[in-house]
Amino acid sequence: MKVDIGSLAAARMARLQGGEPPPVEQGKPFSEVLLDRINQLNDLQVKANSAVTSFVLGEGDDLHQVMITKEEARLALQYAMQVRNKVVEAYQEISRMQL
Amino acid sequence: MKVFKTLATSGSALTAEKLRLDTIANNLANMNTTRTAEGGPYRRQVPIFIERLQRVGVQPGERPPVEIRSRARHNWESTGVRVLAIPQDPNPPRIVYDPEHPDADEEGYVEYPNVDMVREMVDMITATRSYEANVTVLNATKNMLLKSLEIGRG
Repeated sequence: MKVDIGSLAAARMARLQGGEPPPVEQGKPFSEVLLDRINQLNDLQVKANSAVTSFVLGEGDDLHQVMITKEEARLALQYAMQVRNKVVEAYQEISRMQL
Repeated sequence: MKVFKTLATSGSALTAEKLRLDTIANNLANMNTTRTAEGGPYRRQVPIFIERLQRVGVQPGERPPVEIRSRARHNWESTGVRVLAIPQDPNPPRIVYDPEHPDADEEGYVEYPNVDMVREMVDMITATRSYEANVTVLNATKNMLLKSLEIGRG
């Protein structure tokens, strides 16, 4: 995830000092990054699912590979949940702001 | 994903140890096999493991960028273990005097496989324990990753 606070601050400093502001880096918008990550997460879940299916059908990987794939999917989901919690927390913090 | 690299490393070790157990099972199953497709008695098989290398910063299956396409060692990182080959043990077969046996030679000696049961048992213990050790590493990795999710909580 790309946060441009550093380069924004640098541009501001340059403007305050009367110099030419350095160009602000145009990263991907946050929503796109988030969507990419969610797709990756989905891929992991699908992979885990197909690993289980192929194992049950008696083809494909060893049991430990299936377990590892499942574990990866689980961890990725928990990471994603943590990111979601942080985002919701930040949103609530802002919506509670006194105007 | 890079977070799961350790899991893949331990996973490769699990696959390797499982294969070691498979060959041991095969060796023990063929302990008294006197006929094989290539002729003669069965010969003990031993897997050879080699360090699994991967280009630094390149996902498996991905084409590496030009600047790190050389074979220099610093462009490679170790990502576990893989099986190089399963050669046969060159030791001579066990000779047993048994004139009744259909595979006995003119003097009545039969060539039995060079599989030593005690040795296979010891190898089996090593394989099992190595497998367990790698499962422990795997669980430790998982716990570490889960623990990192608790940063800032509470």
